[in-house]
Formats: sequence, structure tokens, C-alpha cells
Amino acid sequence: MLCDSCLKNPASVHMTTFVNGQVKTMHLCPQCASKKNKASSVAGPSFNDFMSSMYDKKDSQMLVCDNCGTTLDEFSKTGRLGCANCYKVFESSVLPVLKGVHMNVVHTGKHPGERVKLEVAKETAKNKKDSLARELKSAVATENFEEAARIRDEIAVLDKEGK
Amino acid sequence: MPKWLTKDAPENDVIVSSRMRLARNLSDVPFPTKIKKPEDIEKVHDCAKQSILKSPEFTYSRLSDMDALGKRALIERHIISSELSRKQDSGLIKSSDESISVMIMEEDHYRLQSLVAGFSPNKAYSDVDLLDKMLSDGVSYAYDERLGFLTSCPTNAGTGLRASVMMHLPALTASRGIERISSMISKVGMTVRGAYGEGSAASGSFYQISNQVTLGVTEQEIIKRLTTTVKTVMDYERNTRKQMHKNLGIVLEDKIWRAIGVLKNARRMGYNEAQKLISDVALGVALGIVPKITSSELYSVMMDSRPAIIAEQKGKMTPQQRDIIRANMIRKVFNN
Ligand SMILES: [Zn+2]
Ligand SMILES: [Zn+2]
Repeated sequence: MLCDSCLKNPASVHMTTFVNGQVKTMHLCPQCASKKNKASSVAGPSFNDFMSSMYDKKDSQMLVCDNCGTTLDEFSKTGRLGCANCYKVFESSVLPVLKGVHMNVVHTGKHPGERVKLEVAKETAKNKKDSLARELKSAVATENFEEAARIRDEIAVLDKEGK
Repeated sequence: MPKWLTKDAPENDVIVSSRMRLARNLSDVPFPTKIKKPEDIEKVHDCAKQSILKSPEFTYSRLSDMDALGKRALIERHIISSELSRKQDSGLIKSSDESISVMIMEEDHYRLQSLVAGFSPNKAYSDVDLLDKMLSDGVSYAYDERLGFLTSCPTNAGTGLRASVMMHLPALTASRGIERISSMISKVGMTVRGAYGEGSAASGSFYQISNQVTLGVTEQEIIKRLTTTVKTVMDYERNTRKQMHKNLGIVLEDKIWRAIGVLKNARRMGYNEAQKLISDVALGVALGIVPKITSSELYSVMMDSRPAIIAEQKGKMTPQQRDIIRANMIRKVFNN
């Protein structure tokens, strides 16, 4: 996806704005986003902060990743890294970006091969019961008693299954 | 009808679908923007095929083998991005109901995705997590102990997880409550964007709420935060709907029944108009004003009436011809 503003760079920032009650989503490159951010109130997390911190390092613009050939200049223009090694080569520029976008720069999530445990069965059953309860209410409210009886039976089955 | 869109999905008076996406890359191959050697590209494809096609419910295809219409329809069904469709070296693995898929060689080597009807973020995550496990057993991911999963764009690093929920918020749109909600949502590291519109303007009051922060939080925390946010918005929307009905009474009911009148009788209908009218009727269904039709039927006809999806089934045609076919299709559903 290309940037909606300059139509040149790839878009990596999605900004939602409200104009006269209309919702508009813009897809922007980091530079255009940082320009727009100054003018707009609703936007992603402090892009200004990290963009300026990135541009401060003009002296190191010649830095190149020896594995994929990405230059620091390229990274500051596109916001994209070229390989895993880039994270090490451009560390001093990437960390401020990560700090700007995320709450923290230390990964606390899972590692490769790990499974994350979530309570799926309970969620679906509970949601199911909640929505049946609502359907029951509306069936009673609209005096659709046949439907209400059917829903009541369905809830009873869920209860019996211990969900 | 989209095959993954089940009938009595949880909370489907407000929520259309829950979607998860994991960004993953191989450790020893440059990311797609910098990949040069043909054998590296083939390696990216082969690794995914070997790990995932073991399960017979999945099929693999090369985007370069698909026609323009097929690609357009996949974009409209939100299975692939337009970026993926434009690429020469990209591929797609998907399950038969399209609820689980992998975009190959998009911005990252892999974008693992899952899609579930209604409000089931845990189910959606479990699906994509299993897919991630299948793939990771056969490959070595670009992963750093401190920064987590490494991605082409640092905004996705860490968990690589984008968790989102598609909501139908007609009352909050009408009352402008959505503006207040949007700033509240951005404070907790989430974003809200208009969805399903042609171009970038939202029509029919559909929105996507998703996490912006992917690093420094666990997958459970991201999903929990999304769940809490969505529930708050959901309650707010339901209350506003009731309030609106109470305040407007027959004025609102008239608007909804008029929408049904047009859907039942129109002979030509553009996609944006269809979406707006269907949104009105969905509000009527949720408030118990309109009987006999369900939210999932409405979401389904809305998705089926997107331009390329119509064209995919009925062949190439002009937009004017498409508007006639769309009106015919919608009339059939509403006169049933
Ligand atoms: Zn731009
Ligand atoms: Zn590199």
C-alpha cells in the first residue's frame, strides 16, 4: 500500500480522523504521518518523538547492513528493515522507534514453538449463553412465546452440559 | 455466503467478526523487500508448504497463477491484502472455509491469519496460534530474546500480533459517540478505523478496533485489553441504541422499514447504498423492530454484494450491470 499523501513511499501508519462526523482513514508513510501528526489530534502513538530522534543521527546515515544491503537512510525513509541482522546494525535508530510505538522494548510474549493457553470453550459457551439470554428477552418482549420456549430449552441444555 | 460466517455467533448484534494476524519471518533469509535470490524466495514458499500442507484442509496457490478477478474477490473477503495481490512472488495458503490463511511474501515472509464470526477473540487466537506452532516446528524464525519476533516494520515486532474485532456501531456513529471513543481507545494502545467502505470513507457504520502495541505485552494481555475495550464499546453502543429508539420512536422505526422497502424493491443498487441500508436494517434487527431476519444473514448479504465477489460468481460486467445483479440478489434475500 502506498502513502495516501505523497503516493511515493510505502504506507506503514494508519490514521483515523473525524471530519464533520465522517470517519476517514489515511494510510501514510512515516514522514507524512509525522507532518500530519503535528496538525491533527487523533493519531497513532507519538510518531513525532521517534521520527525526530531518528533524524538527529545524520552523521550515521552511511550505516549499511552487511547482510541485506539496507542503509540507515533507507530505513529512515521507508520505516522498513531488510533482515533480522538490520535490528542489530541499526539498533540505535530502531530502539527509539520501538520505544515510540510500543509500551516497552522488552518482549514478554511467547517464544517460537510455544503455545499460548486461552480459555476457548468457556468463552464460546458463555458468549453463547449471554446471547441466548438476550434473544430470550427480545422474544418475550415481542410476545413471541413459541420462540422464547425454544430458547429456554437451549439454555437449559447448555446449563446441563455444565458450560 | 462466506463459509466462516456461522449463524448464531456470539454478540453478533454488535460484532461481525474477530480476526488475528501474526507476522513471522525466517531467520536466515532477508525480508521480502530485500530478498534477491530466487532460491531464497522458493525457500520461503517451501517451508510453509512443508509444514502446513501436511494437514489436508489447506491448499496452496501462487498469486501469479490467479486472475485479476479472483485476487480482487480475495481482497474484498479480507483474505489477502492488495499489496500481496500486486506482488509477483507471493503465495497464499488457506483452509477450505477461508477462516485460516497464510499470506506468503507480503511485507513479511508470513502473515498467519484467522477469522471467526462474532466475538470470539480467544478462539481466533487459538486457531492462529496452532498454525504458528505447525509452521515453527519446521523452520527457524527471525527471533530475538529481547525484541521477540522480528518483522520488516518495527511497529509489528515483539509478538507480531495484530488482534482485531469488526464492530457494527450505527448508534455511536449517529450520536457521534465514536469520536469520544476513538480518543479513549488510542490511550490504551488501540486504534479504531472505519471498515468496509469503498475508498477510505467508512459507510454503513462498520469499524475495526485493533491493538497498536505489539511489543512489551504478552499475547494474553493484548487479547484481554482488546476484549475489555470491545466490551466497553459494545455496552455503550447497545445503550445508545436503546436510548435512540426511546427518543426517536417511530421516526427511527420508519427509517428502518423504509430501508427494508428499498432493499425489497430496488432494481439497481450500488455497494455503498446497499451497505448503508443493510446497516439500518441490522440496527432494526438488534432492537427487535424487524423480525424473521438475523444479523448474520445481513452481514452475509453485505459481504456477498461487494463488487468483485459478485463479478467472481457472475462473470465480468460493467458497474451498471453489477448494480442490477446486486439489487436482484438483495431482493431475493429480503423477499424470502
Ligand atoms: Zn508519504
Ligand atoms: Zn539487513
